[in-house]
Amino acid sequence: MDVWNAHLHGIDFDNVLGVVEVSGAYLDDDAAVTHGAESAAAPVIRPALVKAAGIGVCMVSLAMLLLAARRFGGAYLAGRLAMLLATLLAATAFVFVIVQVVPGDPVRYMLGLQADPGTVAVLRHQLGLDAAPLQRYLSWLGGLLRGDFGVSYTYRIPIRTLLAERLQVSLPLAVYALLLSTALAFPLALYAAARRGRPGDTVASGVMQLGLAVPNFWLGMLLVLFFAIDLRWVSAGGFPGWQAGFWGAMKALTLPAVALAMPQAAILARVLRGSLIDTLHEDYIRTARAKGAGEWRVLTRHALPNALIPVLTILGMQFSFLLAGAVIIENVFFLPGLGRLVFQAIAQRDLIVVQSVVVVLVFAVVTVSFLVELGYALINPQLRAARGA
Amino acid sequence: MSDSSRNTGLALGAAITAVFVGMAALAQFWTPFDPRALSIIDKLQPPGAHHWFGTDQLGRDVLSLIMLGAQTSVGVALLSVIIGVFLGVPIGLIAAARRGAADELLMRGNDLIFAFPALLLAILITAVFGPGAVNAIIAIGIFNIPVFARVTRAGALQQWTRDYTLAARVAGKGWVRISCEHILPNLVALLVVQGTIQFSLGVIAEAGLSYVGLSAQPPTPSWGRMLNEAQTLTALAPYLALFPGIAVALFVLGLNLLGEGLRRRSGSPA
Amino acid sequence: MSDAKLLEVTGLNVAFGAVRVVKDLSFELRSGEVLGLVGASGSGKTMTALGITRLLPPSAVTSGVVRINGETLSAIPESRLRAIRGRGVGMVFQEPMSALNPLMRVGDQVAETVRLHRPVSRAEARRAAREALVDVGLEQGTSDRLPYELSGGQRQRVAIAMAVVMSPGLLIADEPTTALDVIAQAQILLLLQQLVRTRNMGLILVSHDLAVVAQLADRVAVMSQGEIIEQATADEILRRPCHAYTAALLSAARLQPKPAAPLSMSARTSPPANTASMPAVLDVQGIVREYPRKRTSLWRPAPPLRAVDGVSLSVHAGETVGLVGESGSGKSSLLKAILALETSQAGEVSLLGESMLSAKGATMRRLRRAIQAVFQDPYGSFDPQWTVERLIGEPFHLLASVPSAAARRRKVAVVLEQVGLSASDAQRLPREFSGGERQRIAIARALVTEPKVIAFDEAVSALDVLIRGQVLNLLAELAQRLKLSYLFVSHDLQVMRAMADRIYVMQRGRIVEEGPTETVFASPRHAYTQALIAATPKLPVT
Repeated sequence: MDVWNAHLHGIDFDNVLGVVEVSGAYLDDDAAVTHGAESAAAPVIRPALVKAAGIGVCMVSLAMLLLAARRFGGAYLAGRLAMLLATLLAATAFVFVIVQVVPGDPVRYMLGLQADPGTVAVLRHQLGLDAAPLQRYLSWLGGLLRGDFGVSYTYRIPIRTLLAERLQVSLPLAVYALLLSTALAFPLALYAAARRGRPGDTVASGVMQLGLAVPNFWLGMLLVLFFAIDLRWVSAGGFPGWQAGFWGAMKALTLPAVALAMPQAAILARVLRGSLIDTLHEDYIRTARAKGAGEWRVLTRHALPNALIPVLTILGMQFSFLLAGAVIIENVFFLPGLGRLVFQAIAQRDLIVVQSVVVVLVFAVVTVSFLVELGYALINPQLRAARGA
Repeated sequence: MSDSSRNTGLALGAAITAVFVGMAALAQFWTPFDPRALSIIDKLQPPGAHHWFGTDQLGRDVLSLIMLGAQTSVGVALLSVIIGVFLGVPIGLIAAARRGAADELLMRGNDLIFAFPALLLAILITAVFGPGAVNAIIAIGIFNIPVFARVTRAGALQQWTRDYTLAARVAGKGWVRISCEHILPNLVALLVVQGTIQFSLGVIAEAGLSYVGLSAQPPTPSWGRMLNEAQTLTALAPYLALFPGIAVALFVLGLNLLGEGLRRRSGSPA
Repeated sequence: MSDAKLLEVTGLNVAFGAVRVVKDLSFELRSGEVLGLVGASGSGKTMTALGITRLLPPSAVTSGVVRINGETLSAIPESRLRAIRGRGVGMVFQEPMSALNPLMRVGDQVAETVRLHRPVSRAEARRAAREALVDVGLEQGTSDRLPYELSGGQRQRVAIAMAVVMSPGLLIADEPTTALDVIAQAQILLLLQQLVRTRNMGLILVSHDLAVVAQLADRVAVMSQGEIIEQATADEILRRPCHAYTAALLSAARLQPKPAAPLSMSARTSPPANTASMPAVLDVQGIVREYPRKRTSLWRPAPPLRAVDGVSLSVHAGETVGLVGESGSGKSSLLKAILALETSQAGEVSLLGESMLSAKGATMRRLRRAIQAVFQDPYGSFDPQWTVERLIGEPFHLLASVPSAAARRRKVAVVLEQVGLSASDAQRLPREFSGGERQRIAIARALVTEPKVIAFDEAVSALDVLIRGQVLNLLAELAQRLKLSYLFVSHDLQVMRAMADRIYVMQRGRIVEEGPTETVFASPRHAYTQALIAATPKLPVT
């Protein structure tokens, strides 16, 4: 609990835009101080959680790839994979150009204009910045392939370690929010579609409109105000770490996940409702009714599977929005995730950390949307037909 | 939903939108109090007859700040929609008309931008150029490009399947002319609806960016930053966290109702 | 035929708000009897069919009494009605492409009907489904297929299997063959007839096509504007229609074959001497149109889809040439290639002796002026935001110098009057016109550049039979008056026979038979042509 509350004391440092001296930030930043302790504990947790999740994702992806290869042939799959790699490559190039080429000299930028030329030269050499941009890009890319993101300038530890620790917060948060959002959206959408055109639908649609309008970070603030400050059920923020026990960690992630999930649930429910109602106008729904099927059966057995096809795309996009949205929510709840890392890095002008976080998030977004597209092709018979399978 | 409730939604949405846009315009000339006047004596006054929405920790009138915040919100969202329309619509029209390699290339480029949610773009831009409203506009605007490109492409592809494009080609017209004379005018309704939706997303995105300090900088008031500043004072003055949030939510709600109403009236699909 | 009344409909009314689409309808049906319900689109026949089992959209207001086997459907609760749907009354709808759930194996869709009405195990229901699918003439193993793997005719068989698997006493088929090609249509009609006979079912066959109804129906009810205006045995209706509307419908459906033109009188083996000496207005040689397919192998590209495979044809001055074929035979691809709207992979098109495919700039514009086109969809053929004047004037783009506004207006007025509309229609929008009027506008647009040839792509297929007759008359008259040549593409042999001097029969991208229309109809040589002609439903001639 002490560690947890210590994060709260660090609030003032987290004002992202406060001009933070580079040297000062290094010592004062709460996260940095605790890193020593955390990184010792981290390997214990990582195999249990991150690895299990990682293996799960890899298995699912592999199964989908094999299935797709069988159904559409190697050429289709090779084409899609080549496209994925090209997108990833273009994304890294884009990030690299924006961060390392456009601003001119990153070292001068990081150290400020009054920096001592000697220090500049030393740092530049340290970071390998005296090479040509293309060479730097290639060596950065080579590092990425080996999982080596470089060394954080402010924290002085490998960025990979930083990311691994922060991902232990951000990734579960995004997954938690995605599950919540799905669990909220499906019943709401099914209810609204079943009651379409009647008062129940109007109310449900109103709830969706409201959910759509409320910004997630403000919802987070309201949740804190109500559950943490008024009711004192939970702490206003911070994260005890997974070593404090699964339930303690989940408790700390619940309010942020709710705040993240609500607007996404509203979007999902709205799309699903619309898709369900569109599907209900299809001829095969009338066929099912003519067979004697009841409303509920028509809705769940005939409309829902078909309505899910367009919803799948939204679901895939949601994951990326949730990962990115987590960046802001983490600041509301003082969670030591990627979001806080990136804002601290911006404040401290630690460009390589910013660059790494962005690349990791972009990789996640691109990969998830690739898998969703594959899944979309697999379940959609019309697409299957178009491929001549 | 009955016709009357649809029209109510549209009217309500239009009214809310008009109030906020009007408020932003009015703030250019008049606010109840001078939002720059700091007055420590008046600080943290709860909402009352004098200061309707209360005052903040520096004694500034919250209503006046919200009115000026509307300017930032409308400005950023509108300009980013304009960026999206001016770059995205031609891309979508070309992709739909040319199909094949051009389509593939343009749409893959779009996918690439889609890989960078607006927030990540804003983070990148801010990391390098420093925070500011212009960077927020660019970040949200870039994100809008693929959105408009996709909507335009989908709508245009549908128009191209209709026989009147064949008739126009029999009349000797090329794809550029057909795109300008036939396709685009038939997509206006669709684009207005999408523009309204992107406007509302822009308002939310601007609030989020200014909340984490990546949009308009002080002294320019913005709703997101008001919320950020209110956060440390939630226990003391919860109303500070209330009014700017309500402003965002209400404005977005109004825009969404407007978009929804327009969509139904034009009869285009969801 | 038993005497028990299977279905009794008394005073059925269906209304959407203030619009009454079915007005005070009464009819009855016995087991083993086929009732044909005939009418133009919008006559209320589909609403009647849906109204019997209360499957109408929720906004519809119905009244009246529907009785099946003595049970009053209009009075029972929805749950009891569900037990009757599928078990007492089977239904088949128009669109086989969308009538099946695309994500469900067809066997499971048939089995669903069984499981909804009988407490049987999944395996038993599947077995019943497999039997039902075989009963409707599908192969063993079809039950494991998904709908997209089946053709339109096969899907319609699945839909029929679903409707009859519980052996209902009554089958309602709403335009069951309208979306099918003529050969598939004949097979489905035969299947329905067999089912009615072997199972002693009552059948209500809803159709716009009198010839289809005439093949099956014992009795025919003619609907117009929500009312049954005439009801009698099929024989009586076809021979001695009482109502003027029925008579008009019948005469429009009985298209008269076009009298053989003098220039195509001679035998098909040697082309007529007078046309051979005369160069063709439009001459098409060896057109090949290929569409790329997605590659499925990493190492070699997929072979392209050959939609048009070396087609040659010619159209002479003043001649109407028909191109007939089923959907997917490549007719439309060929037409687009001829009009140079799509690039052909091989072949040559010459119009008035000049190459159409290699023409550019001013030459191309001059050639385009000489060949215009009318397309199928009277609703999609016009930009909805343009006025009629602007739409008809669009081909002015092809003139070397665009005429003045006054000259344009004059020309538009002339062509509007030529197609039987008035000059005052010029300022209206396309949505203010009916389907037939729109097709007239499309013809006016084709006439405005004073072309030599007009290509028609299924130009009358979307029209009701009465309107179709009027448009065909107009076309024949225009061809004669303006000395036009037509290239007339259609799947409808009746229309072909009424319009064309010569026809080409197209199958899978190739021309399989050609010749003067009457010769081909009288003695078709190719097996495909024979099958097409045999399958075309004909009205008995009185």
